[in-house]
Amino acid sequence: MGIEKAGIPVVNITAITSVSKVVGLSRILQGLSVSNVLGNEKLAKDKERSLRKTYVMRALDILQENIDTQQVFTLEGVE
Amino acid sequence: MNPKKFRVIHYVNEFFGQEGGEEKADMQFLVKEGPVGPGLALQKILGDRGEVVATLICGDNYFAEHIDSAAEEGFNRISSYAPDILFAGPAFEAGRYGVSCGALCKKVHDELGIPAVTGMYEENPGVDIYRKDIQICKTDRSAAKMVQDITNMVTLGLKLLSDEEDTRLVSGENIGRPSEYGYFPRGIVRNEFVEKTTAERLVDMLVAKLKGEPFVSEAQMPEPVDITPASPIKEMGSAEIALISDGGLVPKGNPDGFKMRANLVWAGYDVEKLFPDGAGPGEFEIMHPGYYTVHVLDDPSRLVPVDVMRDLEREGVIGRLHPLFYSTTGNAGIHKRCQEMGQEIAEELKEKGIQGALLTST
Repeated sequence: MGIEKAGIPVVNITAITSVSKVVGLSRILQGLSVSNVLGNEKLAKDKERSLRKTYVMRALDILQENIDTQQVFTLEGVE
Repeated sequence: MNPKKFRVIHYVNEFFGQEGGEEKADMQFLVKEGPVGPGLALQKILGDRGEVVATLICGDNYFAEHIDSAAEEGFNRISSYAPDILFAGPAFEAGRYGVSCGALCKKVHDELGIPAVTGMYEENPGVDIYRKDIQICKTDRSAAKMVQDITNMVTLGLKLLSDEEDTRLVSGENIGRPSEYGYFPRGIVRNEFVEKTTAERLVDMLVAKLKGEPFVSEAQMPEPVDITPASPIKEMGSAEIALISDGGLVPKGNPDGFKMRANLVWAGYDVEKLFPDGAGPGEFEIMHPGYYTVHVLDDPSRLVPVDVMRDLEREGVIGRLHPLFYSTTGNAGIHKRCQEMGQEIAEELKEKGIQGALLTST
């Protein structure tokens, strides 16, 4: 939140969005799992990397989105 | 006439349910007959007044990663036991556990209309999320005084189940005062008959305040949370983006002395050194006991997505990946220090001219 106050947009990628919500973060992206936030160990490495890229690109999109209140995003849209 | 012996369900996580540690955090629901682990203390404290008929156990990750469906599933597993009351935890400062306890208590209370009591340390995120919905007793940070904490939960639970006339509301719910029963205020206002009029009490308080004497406010102002989002990035193609994480990833040897819990320190680490390009994971370790670290140890990009950020920089999607990665350990943090660290990191980002950041949390 300190970062937001300084005027720098930040996207919090996390599996447990309810905690980020109550803390008051503005841009929250639903991550995959607690122990593997931007990955899926069941996938082959190249597929996993591809999946990670999708998530990161989504996060970068969110950094460019104008929002006026807290928003929880998913890969596909919003919660 | 014998007072009724209450049917009690106890909810615990994989650790307190004696199924295992973090490696079992993904385990699904399991029901065991009778009390397990701290449930034995719970049963002892209940004595003849209640029987722990079953213990519901679930992994912290399984629950916290799908809170709504897990709460529903948990509820379905225990509703057939026709409980009179649910006790969950206590969860102390464990965040996922606290959130799970809160969600389950809320679900069971909403569906069955029975009291559902849990216990958490005040900085547990579950407190702020669920305090309005259910009774959360205040506990210590750790399980050191667990027996006392469970005793408080039982005392409150029995109060909620009691038939005492003087505390019954129109809705039929018995509520003791938060200060008396040691639980977090829920923001519920209850009419109470007192001797002095409002005007008299107000004047008493004002006089005390002017004299510098202590007084207790009857109403608490909520603390406003400033959530004005920062403006979006206009030119991503020329923007410098930084990666930040609270997953406790540090260079091997933990040079800045991150602590495993209640950590007070953050640091910026050279991305090239920690994540050498194309040469496999660098020399790093993870100072964070609150999650199963095997996947990140195998491939740190799963936590700090340096690999794809480098791709995106090469492709021109972003201007530049900031050469420092900012790390801290976010486990059982001390609220005030966490806020300070956020401000310090913000100043660093501003100084370095960074336009945006991705913060990955475990």
